[in-house]
Amino acid sequence: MKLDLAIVGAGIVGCACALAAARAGLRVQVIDSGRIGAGATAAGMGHLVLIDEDPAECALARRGLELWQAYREQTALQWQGCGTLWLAQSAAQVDAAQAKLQRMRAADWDCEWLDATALRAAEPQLGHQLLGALRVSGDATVYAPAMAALLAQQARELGVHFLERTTVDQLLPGALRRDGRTLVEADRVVLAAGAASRALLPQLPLRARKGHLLISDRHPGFVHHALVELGYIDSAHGDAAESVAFNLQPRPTGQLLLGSTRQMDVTDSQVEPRMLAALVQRASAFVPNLGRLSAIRAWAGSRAAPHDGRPYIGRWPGPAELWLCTGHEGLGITTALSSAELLVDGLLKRAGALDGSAFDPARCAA
Amino acid sequence: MKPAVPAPVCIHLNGKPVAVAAGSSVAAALAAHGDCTRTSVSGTPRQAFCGMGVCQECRVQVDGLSQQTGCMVQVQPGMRIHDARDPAATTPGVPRTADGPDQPRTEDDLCTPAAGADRLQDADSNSTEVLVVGAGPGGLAAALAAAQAGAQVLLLDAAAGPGGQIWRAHGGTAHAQAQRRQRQLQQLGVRQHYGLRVVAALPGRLLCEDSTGLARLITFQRLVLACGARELIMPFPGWTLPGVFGAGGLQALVKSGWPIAGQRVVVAGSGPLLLAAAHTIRRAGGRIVALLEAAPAQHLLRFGLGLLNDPARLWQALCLRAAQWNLRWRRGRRIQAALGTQHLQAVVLDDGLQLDCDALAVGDGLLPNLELPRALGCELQLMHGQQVVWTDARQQTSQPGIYAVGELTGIAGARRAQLQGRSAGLAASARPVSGQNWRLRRENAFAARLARCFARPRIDEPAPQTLICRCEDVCWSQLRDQPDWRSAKLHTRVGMGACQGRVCAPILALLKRWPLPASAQPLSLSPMRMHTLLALQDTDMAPASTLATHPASTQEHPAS
Repeated sequence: MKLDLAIVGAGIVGCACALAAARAGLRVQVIDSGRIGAGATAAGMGHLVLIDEDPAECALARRGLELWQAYREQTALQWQGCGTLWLAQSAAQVDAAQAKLQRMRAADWDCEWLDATALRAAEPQLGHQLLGALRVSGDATVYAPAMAALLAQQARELGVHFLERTTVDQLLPGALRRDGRTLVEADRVVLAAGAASRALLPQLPLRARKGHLLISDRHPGFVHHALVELGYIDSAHGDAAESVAFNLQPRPTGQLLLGSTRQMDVTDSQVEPRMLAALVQRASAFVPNLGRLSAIRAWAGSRAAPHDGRPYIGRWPGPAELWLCTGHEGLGITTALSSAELLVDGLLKRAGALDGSAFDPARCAA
Repeated sequence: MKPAVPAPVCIHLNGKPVAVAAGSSVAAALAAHGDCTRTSVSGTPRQAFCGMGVCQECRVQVDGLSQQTGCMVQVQPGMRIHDARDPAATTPGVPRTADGPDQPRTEDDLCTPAAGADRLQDADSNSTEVLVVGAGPGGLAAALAAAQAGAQVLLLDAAAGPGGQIWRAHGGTAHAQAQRRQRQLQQLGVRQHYGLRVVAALPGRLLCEDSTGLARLITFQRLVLACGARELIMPFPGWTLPGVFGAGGLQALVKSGWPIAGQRVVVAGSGPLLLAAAHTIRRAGGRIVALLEAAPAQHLLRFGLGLLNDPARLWQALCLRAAQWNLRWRRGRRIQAALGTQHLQAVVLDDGLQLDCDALAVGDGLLPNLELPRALGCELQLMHGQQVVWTDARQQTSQPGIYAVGELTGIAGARRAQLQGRSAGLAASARPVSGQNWRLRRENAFAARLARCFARPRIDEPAPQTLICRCEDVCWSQLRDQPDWRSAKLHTRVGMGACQGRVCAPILALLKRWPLPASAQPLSLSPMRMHTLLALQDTDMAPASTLATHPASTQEHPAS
C-alpha cells in the first residue's frame, strides 16, 4: 500500500506533522537520521514564547500556544507556566516594551508593565540598573523531547510508522531514497528536517545557526520567570554573523538554563568556550550573582534560519509533490503544533485557523 | 605510631559553632555532627559516598559558595558551612531566615558584574614548560624527574595535599612518601597548587578552579596527565542509604576525619583495595564485621602465588593480612542488598546471610579517570577489558606533547605509576629515557594478574527498583529498555545531574554494553562556577602557542 505522506525529520515539528496528518486519515511514514526528538528539539530551550514583532509569526505563535494548552497536564512535558519578563535596559527599550504591551493588549494577550521597583520585587536577582520589564503571563517552558516522544506515540497509535537512524539521501519525484538504495514511494514528501533540510534541497534559502546553552546545578528559587532581554529580538531576527542575547530560564528541577548565542552558517555542534564566556559576560550584566552558580554542562545545536525570518510551510514550487515545514529558527517548539496544522490544511486544501500565505515557500522563487 | 593530635579548628555548621579536628574534610566535619547532608530528588537522605569528589552526593555550601563537594574541601578556621537540606543554601544571594551568629551573606559586596574578571588569577604566574596534573605517585615522580632535568614545572591536584588516593594524608598528617617528594619538589622550585581542579581543556591551556571559585588559566608546553582512577561500584538495592560508601571512598573519608570509631563495618567487593581499606578503617577504630571478597579462593591463591617473585609486595600483602588475622573473611560472596530506612542497618549477602552493621564499604574495581585525556583528544585502547589511555614507550599519548602515566594507562598500582612518571617527566623535558624496562615489565605483569585474579563486577540484571543514577534517582526499570545512552538521558534524566554520568555511565556501560558517550567536549570536566568561564573570552580552539617540538616527541602511531 502506497504511502500518502513521507516525512523527513522526526523532531517536534516532524512528529507534530505526522500526528496531524494521521488524524486527517493519511497513511504516513516518518524517517529520521537519528532518534525521535534528539536533534534541535533536544538542544533548545523549550520556551513557549509569544514573539509578536512580525504579525504572521505572531499569529502562528499564538495559534501554537493555543494548541499547546491541551497538553499542559501531561507531566512528562514538565510544563511550567512561569511567564516571560522582557527586560528593558534603556529608554528606547522601555518605549519598545510599551509598544509591545499595546499590541499584545489589543490582541487580548495577558501582559503588564513592571517598573523598576516592581521588577526588583518580582525578581530580586536582577541588577538594579534595569528600568523595568514587560511581563507576558501566558508564556511557559516545556521539556521538548518528551513532547516529540508523546506526539510520536499518539501518531503510532494511528498507524504512523517511524524509521529511526536512517538517512534520507535523495528526494525523487513521488519518492525518496534512504540508506543509499531503498526507495520509499509516497504521494507527497514533507521536509521537516530543520537545518539538515538544506542537504536535500540546496535551493532552499536556509542557513544553519548554531546556538550554545549552559545549564547549572540545582539552585531553586533563583529566578521565577523566563528572563529575556529585549535585544533578543534583534539577535533572532537579525543577520549578524555572531550575536549573544541574554535569555535565562528556570527549569522545574531548579536548574538554570542560560542562553542564547547565534553563529550564522556554523554547522558543527562542538562547544566553543569563548561563546560560553560571551554568554556569561552578557548575563552577568543582568543578573550579578549569576557567576556564582555552578555550571554542570554546556552543549550546542543548530537552528534552521530562513532568509526572511518566517518558516517555510507549504508546497515547494515545482512538479514534484514536495512540501516543506522547516526554517523555524528559534520558534520551533512554540509553533510546532500550529505549523503542522497549517501544513495539513494545505495538503488537504481546506481552510484552517490561519492564513498561511506569509509562509508559502513559493516566495523564495520570486 | 599514632600521629600527634593537632589542635581543633572552630567552624560554623548550619549556624552553630563547633570544634572539629584540624585537617578534616568538610564532609567528615558534618558527619561528626549529624548524618545526612542532602536530600535526593525523590526525598531520601544522602551523604558522602565516593570520598573523592566524583559522586557529588556531599555537596554543601561553604562560605556562601553553594554546591561544593565537602569531601574535597579541608576545614579552615571560621569556615561557615550549610548542608544542602536547607534549599536556600543552594541559591546564592537569597537571604535565609536568620539562624544565629551566622547571618546570611547578601552577595552584593562580592558579586559585581566585574567580579568574574577579578576572579581570574594573574596570567604571568600561570604559564609553565611542563604541567603535571595529579600529585599521586605518578604525578610526583613525573614532576620530580622533569624538575631534576632542569624543566620549569607546575604541579596541581584537586586534593588538599599531595599523595593522590594511595598516599593520602591521614588525620592531617601527610603520608611520608608524599611529604618527602613534596619537599624535594619545593627545593627544586616546582610550583605546587593543591585544591585546584581542572574544569576545561583547550589546546595548550587548562582552565582550573579552586574551592573558593577562583579561576586559573594555565598555559603549558608539555603536559603530563596523572589523573589516577576512581572506584566502580555496581548498584544493589539500598546502595544509596547513608552509611554505604565506596571501599576506597570510606578509606579516603576516614583519612580525612570521618568518625568511624566504634562503628561496625562490612567491607565487600573485589580487589586488593579492600584489604587496604579495611586496614585504614581498623586503625581509625572501626570494627570490621566481615570482609567479603567476591573472587573465588583459587583466584586469590593464584594471585598470592604470583607475588612470589616480588618479595616487597608479598611482604606488604602478608603484613596487611597478618594485621587482620582475626578478620572474618569470606570468599566468593557478594552483597545482595543494604537494609535500613534513613541509614544503613544491615546487609544481606547473596547466600541469604544478614549482617548487622553501621557502615558498608564496597568496591568492584577501579576505573581510570579518562575525562581529561578524552577532552584533550587522547586516544584510548582496550587493556584487560577496560578502556585506558594509549601511550607509546615513553608515555606519550596520541597527542604530541601530552603524556599519561599511572592508572590512566591501566590499573597497576603505585610502583608502575612511579616508573612511568619518571619516564614521562624525562620525556617531557627532552631527556632520554633509559633502562627500567625489566621493572616496568614486572609491573605490567602485576597489572595483568590483578585483572585476571580479581572478580569481574557483577553484570546480572539489578532488581527493577534499584537506583542506577544517584543524582537524578533513575532506577533500572526506567533504563532497561532504552536503546542507547543519549535516548536514556533525554527520556529519563540519567546522567543529567551534578556528576554528569561519572558514577552511572560506567555502570550502564557494563549492564547495557553501551559505549562511553562519543564526543568529549572541552567542558566535560565541570562543574565549575559560571564566572570561571569568563577566563575563556579570548580563546578559540586554535592553539595558543605552537607546542615545543624536540627529539623526544617523535610519535609512534597508536595501535588500532
